[in-house]
Amino acid sequence: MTKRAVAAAVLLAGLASPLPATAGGPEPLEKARYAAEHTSFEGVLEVRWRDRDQMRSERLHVEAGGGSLIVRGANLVMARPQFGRLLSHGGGGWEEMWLPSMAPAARPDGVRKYRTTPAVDGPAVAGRPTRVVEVHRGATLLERLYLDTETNLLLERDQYDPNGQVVRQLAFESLAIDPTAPPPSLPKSAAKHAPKRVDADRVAAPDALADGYERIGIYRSAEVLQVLYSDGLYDLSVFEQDGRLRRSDLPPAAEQVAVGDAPGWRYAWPGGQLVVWAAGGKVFTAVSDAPVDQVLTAVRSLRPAPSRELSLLGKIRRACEALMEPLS
Amino acid sequence: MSSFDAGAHLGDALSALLDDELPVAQAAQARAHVAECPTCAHELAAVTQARAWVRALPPVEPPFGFYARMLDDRLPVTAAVGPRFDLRRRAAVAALGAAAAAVTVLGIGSPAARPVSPTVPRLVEAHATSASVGADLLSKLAPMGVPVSFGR
Repeated sequence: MTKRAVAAAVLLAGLASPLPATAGGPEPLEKARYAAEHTSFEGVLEVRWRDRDQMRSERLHVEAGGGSLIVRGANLVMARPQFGRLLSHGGGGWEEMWLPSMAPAARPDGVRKYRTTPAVDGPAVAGRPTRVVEVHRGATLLERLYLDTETNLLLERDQYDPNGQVVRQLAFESLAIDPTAPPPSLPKSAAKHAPKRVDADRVAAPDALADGYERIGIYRSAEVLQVLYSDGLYDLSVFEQDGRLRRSDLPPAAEQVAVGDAPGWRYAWPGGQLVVWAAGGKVFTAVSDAPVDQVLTAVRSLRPAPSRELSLLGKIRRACEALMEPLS
Repeated sequence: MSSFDAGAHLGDALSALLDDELPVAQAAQARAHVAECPTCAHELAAVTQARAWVRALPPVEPPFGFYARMLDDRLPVTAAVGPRFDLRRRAAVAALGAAAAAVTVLGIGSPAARPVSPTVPRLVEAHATSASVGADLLSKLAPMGVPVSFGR
């Protein structure tokens, strides 16, 4: 068992521990992860999410086998063995988005933040019997997980707002388990778009954000720095770019929020939330699958360093370059 | 030119990189360094912006007859006014040049930050791919099958 698998098992055992019936019981998300990587199946998955005042939905075809998984929607997404990730927009060429060598650090255990209920028999999903586990924070229900009784595949995942309303849902409409199915065919080539890992001592990225989010990876792609955090259940990326936010280029369908003293704009995407704001001469974009209140609490704890002043020599050099350039 | 020192910033090599004056191998090294060094990436962006600003300045037309007077050997610019006036004129031009340089240094040395338009769909994709590693693929990765749009 790998270090990551051990950490995930510890996490889920920890999540389960506050309730006696789950001690030593199912480790739902770890088992679901393992099942998705080791089961050959094919099905139709419906994604539903709340976007401001309306629910939106899309259907996706999912196929898995031989350790690879492919999602076919308007975009094609592929997970290959050993963590490689590929993406194709609208049937165009494949892009390699993530390299197998860039696995993040182990996620925190999250045991102090969440608790899970004992698994109980649940309703059939896509015609298959399920076991249901609830994830709570304090007295608040955050999620219901419906796991396939036979394989432990995650057949449905519902995320709730504080009022108990579903804000996001993944649910299989149909599913066929076929151990003899051939694995999805791998693309022959892919454009290289994966970021590079950055050493923690080369950037000023906090080790942790509020609400239990711990840093598990730092990456850079061109001028965009990505710092990946996790609380054990949800993940949160903070993307950082130097400059001032050109608000006019942002999509208009936003809810304005406050991030410290700065105005921010929140959007819903099929997998969660994102918030854009500017502070300290930088533009930040936080993307997460966590509930919006957690995302805002975490990003409000981010204290960006003030923008760097150039030295006098640097200013003169830059000015001379600007003056001479048109003559060259 | 030797290879760049590991851990050192590019400094003047950034200008050479912008001007495509670096040999191919060194340009590749410089780009790789910029990709991992926030300081040099910031510096490169700033210098690029400054160049763009200067290039965007409107052209200045010289006064009528300027080129003719400058090029006409029979009527040198200073011939009719004598060496004393020429000295004053040179001093004035030098003072104006110094003033212009000072204004330029102050103006360009503290530029407003460059505008940034986050490519939101791309950032969502980057997050989803990184967060799916070591986690349940269906939960973390499947939403990427839906293109990110916000009803613009």
